[in-house]
Amino acid sequence: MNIEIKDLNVDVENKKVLQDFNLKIKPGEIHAIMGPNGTGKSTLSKVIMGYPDYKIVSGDILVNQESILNLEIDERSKLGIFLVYQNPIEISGLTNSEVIKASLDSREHISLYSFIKDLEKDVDNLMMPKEMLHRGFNVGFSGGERKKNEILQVLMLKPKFIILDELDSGLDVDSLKIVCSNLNNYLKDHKDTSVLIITHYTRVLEYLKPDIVHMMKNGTIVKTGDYSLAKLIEKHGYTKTFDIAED
Amino acid sequence: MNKIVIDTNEFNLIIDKNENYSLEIINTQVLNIKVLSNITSKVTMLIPETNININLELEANSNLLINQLSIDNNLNLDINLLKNSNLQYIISFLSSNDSLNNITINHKESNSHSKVVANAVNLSKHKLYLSMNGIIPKNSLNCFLEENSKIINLNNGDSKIIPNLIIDNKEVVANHSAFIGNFQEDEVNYLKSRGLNQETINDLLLKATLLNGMKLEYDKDKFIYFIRNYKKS
Repeated sequence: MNIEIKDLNVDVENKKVLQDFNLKIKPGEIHAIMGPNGTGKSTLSKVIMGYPDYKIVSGDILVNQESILNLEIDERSKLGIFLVYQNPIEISGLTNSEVIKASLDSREHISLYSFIKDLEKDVDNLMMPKEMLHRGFNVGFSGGERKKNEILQVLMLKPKFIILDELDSGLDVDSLKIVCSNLNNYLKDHKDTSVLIITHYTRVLEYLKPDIVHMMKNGTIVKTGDYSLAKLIEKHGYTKTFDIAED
Repeated sequence: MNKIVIDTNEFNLIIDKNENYSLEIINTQVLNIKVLSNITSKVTMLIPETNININLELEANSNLLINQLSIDNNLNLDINLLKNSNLQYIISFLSSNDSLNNITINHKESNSHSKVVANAVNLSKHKLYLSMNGIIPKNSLNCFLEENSKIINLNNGDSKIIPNLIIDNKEVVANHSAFIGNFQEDEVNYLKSRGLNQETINDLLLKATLLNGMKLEYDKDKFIYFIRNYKKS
């Protein structure tokens, strides 16, 4: 999927959260955005998803050259955009499999047999206990289990643009490896799928290698490079890397 | 599991064995349930479109779990708890007409425990009132009482929760919570981000609200069937 964010300015409660933001992601590319807390990284993910609290002051978001600004959250999702949440919510009274089945039904008809077969295969690949499918949605799940549950939905819904918001938070090393291995396999099979990784740390980038790394500060991208930029950030921290970039 | 369809004006159910019951109640005005001493039981009740008085008594050392779906009811529920009895009552209301409901939990004797959870969805602009009264008199020691009420007010209906705790004893634990509002915005947005439209989300969250906390082994499909078909009609 081709994503282009052009000169985007976004306010929330009269406060500027994204300023003259530009980003181009070609089909099949993996981009990473790194930045300190409160710089607007998670805001960006919600803006792309179409959360109504964020006011687009100017600029555009194009998917395959078409503006998506007039689309609702669910319409953007059906277009193939998928946000892996930093803190996935729990919903009592709805089971995991119910939510995933309803999401699939909103896209295409799938027989119950195929659904169960695919779901069980993906659950096995993610090393999740099968009984989690029949529990309340994320109810009583650990942080790591919730993240696996998000990736389970990626595998089932087959998006074309995946936003990973702090994927590694709440995941131990073993679980991060399992999750990233599943994502890498998915990307191998879906070569046009683009990825935007939002992260503080380089840990996740060791398993999901980005083609391009951006550094974000005060709601805008201040530096773009390859994987070596991530290494520079890890070595020097954000402030010093920014100073080096300025020089 | 004892399945009973009740269609008489008045019905008495004496639970004298450790057995479970599934009740479907049609046009019944008075239902008396008594759980005898030392008995543990579970009851599911489906009450569609009926004005009903339910009198429930738990004798000493008895345990009862009730899961109840009330559709367009006017309900008067009087609960009396005797020594060391333990009640968990999960009750869901779905209404699109005036529905006036009064629930009284009377801890008549010491060491009695009750937890009553009322989840309701008001589909219309009509009245949906839940009056929840918890009573612990002076001579009832070491009681535990909890009442939680929630109304999802989908169409700005006239919804009210009136919680009353009448506690005349310091050696007890008693608390309540009450919420009236719409579905949580973060739940709605999350489900939208998975491609679900507002109508599907309402259906899912309505069911989730009404079945939340229920432990249904045999009647789940029946409850879901009634919820879906009622909403459609």
